[in-house]
Amino acid sequence: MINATLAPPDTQDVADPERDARSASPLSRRAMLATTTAALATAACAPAGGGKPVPSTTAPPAPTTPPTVPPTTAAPTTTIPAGPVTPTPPGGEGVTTRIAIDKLTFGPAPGLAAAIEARGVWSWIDDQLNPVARNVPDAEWRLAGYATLTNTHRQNFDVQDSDDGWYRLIEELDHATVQRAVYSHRQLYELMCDFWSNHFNTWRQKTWMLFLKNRSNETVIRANALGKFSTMLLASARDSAMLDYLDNLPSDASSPGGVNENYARELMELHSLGIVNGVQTHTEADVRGVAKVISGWSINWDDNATRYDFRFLPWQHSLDAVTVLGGAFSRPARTYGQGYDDGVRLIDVLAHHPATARHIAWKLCKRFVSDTPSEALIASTAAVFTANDTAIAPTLRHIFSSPEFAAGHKRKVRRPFEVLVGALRATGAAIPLGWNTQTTDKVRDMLDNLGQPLYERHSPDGYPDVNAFWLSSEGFLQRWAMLGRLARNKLTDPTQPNPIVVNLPSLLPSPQPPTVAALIRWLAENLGNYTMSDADVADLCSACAFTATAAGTTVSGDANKLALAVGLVLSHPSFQQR
Amino acid sequence: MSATMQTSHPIRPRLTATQVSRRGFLAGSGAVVAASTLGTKLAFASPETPTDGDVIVLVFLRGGMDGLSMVAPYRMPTYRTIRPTIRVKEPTEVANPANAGLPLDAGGSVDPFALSGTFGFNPGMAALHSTAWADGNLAVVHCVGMPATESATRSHFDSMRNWEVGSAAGNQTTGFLNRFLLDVDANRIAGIARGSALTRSLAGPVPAYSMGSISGFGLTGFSNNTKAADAITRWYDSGTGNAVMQLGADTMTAVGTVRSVNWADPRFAVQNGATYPNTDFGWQLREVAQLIRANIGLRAVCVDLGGWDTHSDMGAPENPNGYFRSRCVELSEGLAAFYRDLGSQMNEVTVATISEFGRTIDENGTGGTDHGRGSTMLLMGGGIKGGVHGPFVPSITNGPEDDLTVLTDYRTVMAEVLTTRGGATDTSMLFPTWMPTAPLGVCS
Repeated sequence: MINATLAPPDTQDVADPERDARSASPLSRRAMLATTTAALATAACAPAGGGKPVPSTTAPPAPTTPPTVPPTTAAPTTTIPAGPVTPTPPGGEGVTTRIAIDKLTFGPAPGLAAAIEARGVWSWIDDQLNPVARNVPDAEWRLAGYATLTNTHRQNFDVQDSDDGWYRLIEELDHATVQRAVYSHRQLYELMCDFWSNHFNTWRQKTWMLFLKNRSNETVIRANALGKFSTMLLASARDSAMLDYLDNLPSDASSPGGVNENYARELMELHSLGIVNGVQTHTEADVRGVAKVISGWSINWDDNATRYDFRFLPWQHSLDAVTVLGGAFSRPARTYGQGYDDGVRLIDVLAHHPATARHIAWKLCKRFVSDTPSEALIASTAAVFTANDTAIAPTLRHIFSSPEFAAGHKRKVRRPFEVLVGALRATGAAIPLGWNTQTTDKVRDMLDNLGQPLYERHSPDGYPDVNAFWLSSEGFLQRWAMLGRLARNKLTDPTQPNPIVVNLPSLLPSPQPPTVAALIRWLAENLGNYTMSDADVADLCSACAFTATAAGTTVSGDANKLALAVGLVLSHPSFQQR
Repeated sequence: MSATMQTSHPIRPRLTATQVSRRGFLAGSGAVVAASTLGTKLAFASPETPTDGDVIVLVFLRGGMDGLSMVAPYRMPTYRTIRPTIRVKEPTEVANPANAGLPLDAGGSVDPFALSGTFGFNPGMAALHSTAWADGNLAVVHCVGMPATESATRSHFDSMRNWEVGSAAGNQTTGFLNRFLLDVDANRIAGIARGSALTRSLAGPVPAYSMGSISGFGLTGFSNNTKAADAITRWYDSGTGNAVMQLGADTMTAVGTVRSVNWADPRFAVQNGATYPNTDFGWQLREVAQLIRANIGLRAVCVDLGGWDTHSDMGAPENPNGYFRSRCVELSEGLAAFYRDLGSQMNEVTVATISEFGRTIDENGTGGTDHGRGSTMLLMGGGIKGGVHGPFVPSITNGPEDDLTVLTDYRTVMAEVLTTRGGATDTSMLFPTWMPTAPLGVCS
């Protein structure tokens, strides 16, 4: 039986001031503002033009990376347009609507199951893989006025340089990410944005140049999330945020200490070739060689419109002859001004290397199947990746149509971001549009408490994608508390402007389920996308002193009881797994 | 409830029949059995009998800490040459001696040791230098790591993984501190990782817990938390083989234990006039001291301190605002406060700091250092023999791999600490791929 002391006596719903003060400290508005002065002081010291003459070869044209998924600004719609009908591919028969929702979206949402049923699971999956061609509605209309998402780096520097600028940069990006994940019908695309954002993780607060993150999130991640990996790898290598974060920006072959190895190492280890189950392709000598080839990949410090954009700085570039990866890439010694094209060729070699195909296949399988995907699935997925010139959508489709995909249902733990977004979707929560509200602050603090604050992973590997990392006592106490509060409209302060609003009675069917037990089952089925066993329904009723056979309205008609029931339905083990 | 999720609890280490019988709580099968007996020992109110081993506090300095900057061979000519700006200076080189290296000479209660006078602490280590070091309760081991014959990786992630599971072998998946808990027959709240996630060193079949704060360790958020806790406890069954349910069951049991302690009791307050720094690390250590005093069965704690991946702008140690020095200040002020707070109880506590690797000997072109090999450990406790232990390189030379050679297997140090201080008996279970060698004598 339960000890009455299970809950801390004075923290039933009262914020713990000590904990709040701590959790807020790295991210709070006050803290951010406090650092602004220092950051701008540093900014003033940033090199201007590098102090050396600029040869004519300095600024090669940027490869154009047209957004694969251009935003729409049309008014919201909940109707998913009809499109071509896809027959079920061999091996994909096991993918049910329930599995599609759990594994290919951030979670169930009102009306989603019915929409998938009406469209057909595989037609819906192909819509998700081709959201632009199929006109799947996005949520970009919610982000009107979020200028930092589309600004140039130069413009975002000016934002950072203004009052509350740091705050705005962080809040717009974070709140946009949450709203896109909750409301966009392009759910698989948003999942992949989350995946690649972690794969190419940059920590925006490592240096003073926090402002680089907002644009890079659009041009590196969102522009390529369902596009070609080779394009994304090059975009990331030319990404000012990445070059700053992993110290390639100052890497200078002509300095006494020589080049900086940081980015070169992670480019191979984390972004491309990988280390899969301890098997490593590249050597320490390769790290040095690659660091030389990409030395000089930096940013433009000249005071013009493209300031802070990518720029090749020949005076920082190594001119040494380089051979790496057992001869897969080599170049002769170069003369001053040459060398940028070598780096582009190197990135292409890395993107198409067999080890990269295996690494990306392994990570995608871990994401969508289980922590221990079969060797056969990894190998076949890598082959599809290579055969499609590193295109991501066909690679994903191959995974989804393998029997292992459906068999992997409920074998992954929902990470905190997935739980929060999933719960907001499940409860049909209304999130205020503006970036500058209590909601943005509270959601960010919530994710911090849950252990996965957005865009704040300090190390370049991104948040772990294995169950063991997220199975922690503190993490689960925090997620249960979050789910309990959300159902009670206490995730934000309902007495203050711009709270998150959940209207539970509006979610219920008409007529209502006849008994309390039927109501609980209905909530699990429709909000949680799982079937609750009779024994578990009985457990809930017993714990909450509900009479299972009484009329459903005895619970649904009492706001406290309904909130308790919904909070618990979402706290059930089934909802923690996908 | 059907268990649809494959358990992700790592595979239990193979045990011989005698090992199993020695550990009564393992008399059964399945990785979850260890948890079920946790509940049988919950009824306690008074301080238990003294444990038969120290509480081990493992502080992981994430990012690859540059040992040559924290414990600098500051009088070695080769060191002076190869690190022109970021090296720790001698007193004659700086205007204010407080900004020079703090000599690790023998003296006070520190025994003479072979490398006396060769090393100096970074000036940011002043708080530890004047306390635990002066008392002879702080040991340094340089050039530690995993032997290249087992793994020479310089990847943060592979190296951290290897350190924490205690092996480079792919089939070794449990954390070495979890195997320590298994070895010492730990029960109740034996292992705690501070923070929102469970540190890998503690992961494994013996239940271990992550904890953000003592006061927040409970179920909150519902209109009736007692009813909610009841439902959650009923749903999250122990012993189903489902890892999520097992975690939930273990968590609710631990919550019951932690909430049964009267944390307002003055016995758990900060003592001996200690003042913890106002940092997250200081706050974590303050609560670790409280947890130790509460007699909840604690045997191993993990605390992380990041920010050591210093590829650029490490700063000069004589500059009080230099980056690396400020990291040292955060570490040493936190540890020194912990040391003072626990006072004589430090006789039952051993702190060890580890980091996944040391850094390149050369300064790079951006005032930093890249990934190297040989790392540096600190050990602190009443049962630690102060001094610089183990071998060091005869000269700081920039070899082909640009690093500090690994001369001491870190498991040699940890094995000594976990057995001599921690009470473990089976080093083959703690570190199955380690080649046992004679202890350095860091424990008194």
